[in-house]
Amino acid sequence: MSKPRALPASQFKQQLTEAIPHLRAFGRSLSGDRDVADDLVQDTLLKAWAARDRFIAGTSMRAWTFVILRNTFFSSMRRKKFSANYDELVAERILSAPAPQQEPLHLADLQRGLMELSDDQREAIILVGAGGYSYEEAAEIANCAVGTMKSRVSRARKTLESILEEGRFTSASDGHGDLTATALENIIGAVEKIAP
Amino acid sequence: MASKDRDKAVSSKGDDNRKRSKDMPVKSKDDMQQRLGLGLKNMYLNVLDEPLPDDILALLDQLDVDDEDDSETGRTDVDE
Repeated sequence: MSKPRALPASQFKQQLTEAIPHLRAFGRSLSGDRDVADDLVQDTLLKAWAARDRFIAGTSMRAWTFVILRNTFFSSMRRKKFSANYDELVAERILSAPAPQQEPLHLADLQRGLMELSDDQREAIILVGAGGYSYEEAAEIANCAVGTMKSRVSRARKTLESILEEGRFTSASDGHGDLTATALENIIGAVEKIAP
Repeated sequence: MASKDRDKAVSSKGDDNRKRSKDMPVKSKDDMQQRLGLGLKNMYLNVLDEPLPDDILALLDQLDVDDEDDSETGRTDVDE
């Protein structure tokens, strides 16, 4: 069996550079903070460069670096280096999602709503709903079963819709208390492994 | 017939919802889902359109240089 082909450094750097805007968008949605997101991107670039011989040519650089970024984010969250919070600068940038004959959905509210979700659900809705990844690709990035990813996206959508419709924002939005959802997701994931 | 059923369903939701509907326009579930989808995509796309910050550009420039200067340093664990 032939060894997977690594990219030459120049090509690796080119692909890495092209992934940066997506890494910033993913990081900002995940953390809710512009500066934290850019710190995450810088950490990700350094780690990706250091591990470039593990990147397989022909695979998705964006997906590969997303894995590094989300691992860095969640690892740092556990160490409290970063904390997901609501960025006032983001709130000031009130941009609207156009929809005819409707009041606009303020992206500041959307960002706030995202921070009300659990970390897992926020990641899921960003990857699938914003980044345009398939459930399969998103599950691979988040290292979970496809059924788990679908469950997370569905729950995130419902929760976000409810929050945005009712304007129900809370201060208890660090997303670490969703033990029921996590337990259910684990069960769904286990069932899917048994009967795919 | 269908619209009568829909009206009936709306009218049976109770006083709270009726009071609320005076203040806010009624939005269908599909509308909300559409707005949410557009909002998420816009939020993501807005960042894509931003120019890269100077410190990230500087880091990119530095990657090759650091690699040559620091070749004996251990690799960072990607799966941290």
